[in-house]
Amino acid sequence: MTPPHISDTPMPKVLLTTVDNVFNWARKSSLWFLTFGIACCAIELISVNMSRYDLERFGVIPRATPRQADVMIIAGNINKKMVEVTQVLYEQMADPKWVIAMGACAVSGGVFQEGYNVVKGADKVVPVDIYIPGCHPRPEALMHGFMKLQEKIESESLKDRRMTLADRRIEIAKHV
Amino acid sequence: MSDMDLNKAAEELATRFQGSVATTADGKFNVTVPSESMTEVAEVVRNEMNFDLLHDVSGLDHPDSIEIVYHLYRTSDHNALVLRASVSRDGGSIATVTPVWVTANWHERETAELYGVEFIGHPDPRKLLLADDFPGFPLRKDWSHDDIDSYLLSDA
Ligand code: SF4
Repeated sequence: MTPPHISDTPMPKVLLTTVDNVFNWARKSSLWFLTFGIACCAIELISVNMSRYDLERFGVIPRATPRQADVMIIAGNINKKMVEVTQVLYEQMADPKWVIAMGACAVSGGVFQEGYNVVKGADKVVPVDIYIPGCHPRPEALMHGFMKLQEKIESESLKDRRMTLADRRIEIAKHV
Repeated sequence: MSDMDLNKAAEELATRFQGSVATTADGKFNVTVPSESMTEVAEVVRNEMNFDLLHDVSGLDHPDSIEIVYHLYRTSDHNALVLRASVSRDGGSIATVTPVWVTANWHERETAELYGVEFIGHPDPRKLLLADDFPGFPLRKDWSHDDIDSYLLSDA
C-alpha cells in the first residue's frame, strides 16, 4: 500500500498529487461493506469484524444499508429468489462499488452446485471483483481479499468506466 | 386420563382405519393408513391418543406413489409415532392436518412444492421456499431440467 505521491515544492504547505491518487487512497481506505450474510460464510464474516481480527484497522466497517456501502460481500449461495434481491441491493449501492465473492458457494455454487435451485456462482448475477475460495474461508483469507481489493482500487483510474449492471445483463444473456 | 400404550395405540389405529403397523429398528411404530381417512386419523391421534406435537411432515418418492410421512410426538410421556399415507404420483392429494396441528402449515407447503402433492383444505397453499414459477417438483427422483441455469437466471 503506497501512500499518495506527495512532492515537496519550494512553496511551503502545498501538496502536489494526482486526482487518481487522492481518490483511490480515499476509496481504498474506507471500504464500507453491506451486512448481507446469505449463508454460513457470514459467520466468518462476523468474526472478522469482531475484536480478534478487527477489520476496522483497514477502514472496513459494516453498514446496514446499501446506500452507504461500497462493497458487497456475497457470503453464500444465491438461489432463484435471491437473484433479484441481490441485484436490487447492488443497484442501490452508490458508485463506485465493488463485489467480493466469499467462499466456494459464491465463487461457483460450491457443494450445492448440482442443487436444483442454486446459481453457479455470484458472477452470473453481479460483477465480482475478488474471489475468495474456501468453505468457509478463514478470517485471514477475507482480510487478504480486502487487501487484494485495495490493490485493485489503487490501480483504477477515474477515466475508467465501470461496467454497469445493464452491461452485465447483456453479457449474462450471451452466456445462458 | 392416562396415555394409551404406544403398541396398543398403533394397533388400534391400524384396525380402525384398515391400516398396517411396522416397527423400525429403533423401536418406532410406523402406522400406514389410507390417505382418504387422514382427517379422521389426525383427530383420533391428536385428541384420543394425545399426540400433541407434530415434528415434521415429509415426503418419500416411490416408483408408483408418493408417501407422506408424519412424525408425531407425545410430550406427556415422550413417545413418538410415525404416520404414513400413500398418494398417487399424478395429481395425488391428501387432506391437510393443519387444523389439528398448526405446525403442519409450512411443512405441508414445502412437501407440496417439492413432491407435487396437493394438501386439500390447506389455509395457505402457496409455495414456501421455491419461486412461484418453479418448473416441476425437484425432490422427485425423475425430476430433471436440462436448462435450469437459464431458468434460475431468467430474471437476471
Ligand atoms: S462456502 Fe461453505 S461455508 Fe460458505 S456459504 Fe458455502 S457452504 Fe457455507
